Parts: sequence; C-alpha cells; structure tokens
Amino acid sequence: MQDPPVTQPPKRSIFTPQAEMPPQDIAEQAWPRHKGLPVSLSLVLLATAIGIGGAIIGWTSFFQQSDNIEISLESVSTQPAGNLEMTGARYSGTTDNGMKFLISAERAVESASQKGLIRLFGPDGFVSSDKDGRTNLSSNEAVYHADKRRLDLYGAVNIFQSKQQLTLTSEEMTALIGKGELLTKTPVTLTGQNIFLTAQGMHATENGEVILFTGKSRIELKQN
Amino acid sequence: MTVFPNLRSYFTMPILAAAMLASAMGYTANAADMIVNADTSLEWNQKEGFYQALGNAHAYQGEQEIFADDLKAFYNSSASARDITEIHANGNVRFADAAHTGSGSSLIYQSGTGAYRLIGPNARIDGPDGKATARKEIEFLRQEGQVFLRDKAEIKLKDGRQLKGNNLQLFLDTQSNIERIEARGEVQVSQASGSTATADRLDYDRLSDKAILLGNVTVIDGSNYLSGDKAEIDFKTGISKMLSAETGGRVSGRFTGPKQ
Repeated sequence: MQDPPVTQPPKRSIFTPQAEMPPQDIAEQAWPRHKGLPVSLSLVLLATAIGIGGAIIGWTSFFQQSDNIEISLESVSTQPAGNLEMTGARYSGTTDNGMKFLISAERAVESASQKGLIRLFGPDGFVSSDKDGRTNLSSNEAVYHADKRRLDLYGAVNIFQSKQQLTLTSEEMTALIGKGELLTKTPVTLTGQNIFLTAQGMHATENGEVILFTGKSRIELKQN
Repeated sequence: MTVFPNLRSYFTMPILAAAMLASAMGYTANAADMIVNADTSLEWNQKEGFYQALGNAHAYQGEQEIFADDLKAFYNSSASARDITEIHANGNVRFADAAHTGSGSSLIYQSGTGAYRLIGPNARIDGPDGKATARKEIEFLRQEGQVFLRDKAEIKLKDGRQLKGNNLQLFLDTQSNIERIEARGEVQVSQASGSTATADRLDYDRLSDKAILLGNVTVIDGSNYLSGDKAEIDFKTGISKMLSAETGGRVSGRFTGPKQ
C-alpha cells in the first residue's frame, strides 16, 4: 500500500531573498521532506532555462545563475512516487546580468526518479531588461533537464519579443542553455508588423543573434 | 536603339528593403511586399546584418524578381529600419521585370544608388528591342545613366544591327534610352543588309543615328571594300563614308561592279 500524498499547507508569496537566507536553508524550510535535487537549485535552473527560452530573439547572455529569486506557491505536495508537485508556482527575480524575470506555471512536477527533471504545465512568463526590453514566453508544457541544461517546450509555443515586436510560434522548441541556442524541427512562424516568415524548422545561435530557418522558407517584408 | 528602354526600372524597389521591425498588431500583406522563398534555408544574421536565402532562392516584388542559388541581402544593423543596402545573388542568377530579363553567374545590387553588376561569364540582358551580352560583366550605374559591358561585349538589336567590341559603354537619357555608345577594342558593326565595319573604336550618336569609327577602319559592303583611319556610317541612309583622318592618312577602296 502506498502512502497518500503529503500536502503542505498552501503558501502564498513566500519571498525568500537569498541575501537573507542561503539557498539550502530555503529548501529545507519550504520542503523539508524533499530528498531530490535541492529545490532552490532546481528553481534557479528552471528560471534560468525559461529565461533563455524567452530571451533567444536578440537577447544577450542570460546564462548565468540567477539570484534574488522570489518564490510563490499555492500548494506543494509529494506524490506516491516521490515526485514533488507544486501548483500555482511563480518564480521571479533578477539575474546576475540584471534581467528581471517572472515565470509561472499552473503545475510543476519535479521527478523523483529522474533527478533534475522538472515538468511544467502551462508555463508562462517573461524576462526583461532595459537594454533588450521584455520577452514573453508561453507553451502548454515544458520539461527542464537540469543535467543537460536543456528546456523542451511543447504545444503552442509562443515567444513574443516586445523590443522588435516579433512573435515566434511553433509546436515544439528546445532551448540549449549551455550553448545559448534555441531550435526546433517543427514548422515555425515569425510574425511582426513588417515581417511574416514561415519555415520548417529553426536553429538560433549566439543568443538569438543568428537564426537559421531551415527547410522550405518564405519571408514577406514590408517596404519602407 | 532601345536595348535598355526601361533599364532604370530593373530594380526600382530596394530589393529586400524591408525593416525587420514588426509590431504586435501582426503582419498585413500587400502588393508592395518583398517576398523571398528558399528551398534549403533562410538565415537572419543580426550580428553581421544580413538575410541569406539558400537553395532555389527567389526574391520578388510585383513584377520584378531575382532567382539564384544563393541570395544575400545586407542591411545596416545599427539602423532601426534595417533597410537593405546591398544584395548579392550567386549561382545561376536570373532576374526579370515586366520588360526585361537577365542572367549571369552572380549579381551585386546597391539599393542606395540602384546600381548593379551582373557578373559573367556570359552576363546577358534581354529587352524588347534586343539583347546585350558581355563575357565578364554588365554594370549599370543608375544615377550616372551609364551601362558598361566588359569583355567581348555585344549588342544585338531586333532590326538586325549588331555591335561588338572588347568594351562597350552606353550613355542613357532620362528615359533610359540609349543616347550614345562608345565601343573600344576590336569593334565590329554589322547591319541586316550584310554590310560590316570594323575599327579600333566607335562612337555612336542616337539622335543623328550615325557612328564614327576610328583606327584601322574597314567597311565591307558586299564585294566593296573600304579602309582607312576614319569612317562615318549613317544608319538612316545606309551610306558609309571613309574620311581622311586628321593625321592625313590615306583612304583606299576596292569596288567591284556587277557581274555581266
């Protein structure tokens, strides 16, 4: 017989600036029974990963570890398999290079069997900076592989970069955080007021400054 | 002589001259858009400021279009509008507009001046009145109204006239019609009647429809043969005159009467 899920009382707006408390203390206080990857580290990596996904169009480096993360949850529970499940998760803060971010997910599950794998349902968020403006990102699901520093986005992937007013959509997207690359082998669309681009795939490198649209591609450009 | 009657309109649009600035309102297509298709890939390089289409690349706007294996359009990455400044088309280049077609191995187009170089071997432009070819390149300086045909250049008109030379330079009027031609090196003029003339150089004037040939001139009309240092050909009347050069060179001729 399996133990029923253990649910922590709902926690809202649990802001735990690192300046006041080391990461390991945060984890032990918020999720004392969790035995997997330290939660605070997972969240740091997750927030960084999503930041990368959003920052890929024309963004500069966002690959440093984040700090000053604020965490807000509606509930957190451990499942019978040992997975850690959180609802209404919101991660916000400022990265080392000064980019603000806010990531929310309806539900987030960290796998007990696959350490460092976090599955997000309904992820939605943004990263922003004075230099590059704000980039919003959303998809139906996302999986973060901490060991590979890779974020896989699935279903209705939508990345909107406000500075250039560009919207990138696809059904799947992978962010290779270590390399600063974003790629997909599924059809992709890039839309703006003066541009409409379709392609069969995409590989963005150098933090999005070089984007190779692959396969049959078509771009429509307005004339000024 | 209007080989290039609408030459200025070949690239009246700045090809690929579109800003990549977009808005959240989305893209609304219209007839003035520049559209680029590629079979293999389309690269947007923001670091170096270019777009590159590979594999059966095809750029068009209205009735004007360019085909090539590889199309690369450069823009000023520091400017917000990102207007295209130059286009390089390589490999099996063809272009066309409503009245003209052209081909070559590569094409360089400068949107700021509208100038372009169609590079050979065997660069070629076809127009409603004829075609022009050059082994090395055809360069069109739009603002100057000049066209250079370099290396084994040739113009063939539909009325049968042909002009060959190592290098030809065309001077255009404001309507892009030929006003004047300068031909240099191994010049040869042929008419539909079969008469031909050769010289070291030729200057043709559109208004008078006459050409002056200089240096080692020969005129062959049927069995008649003239040679000298200078000749004038009147294309309206079909009369050729061999003239004495300023240096006082002699004129010689051989005239053969009709056979009895």
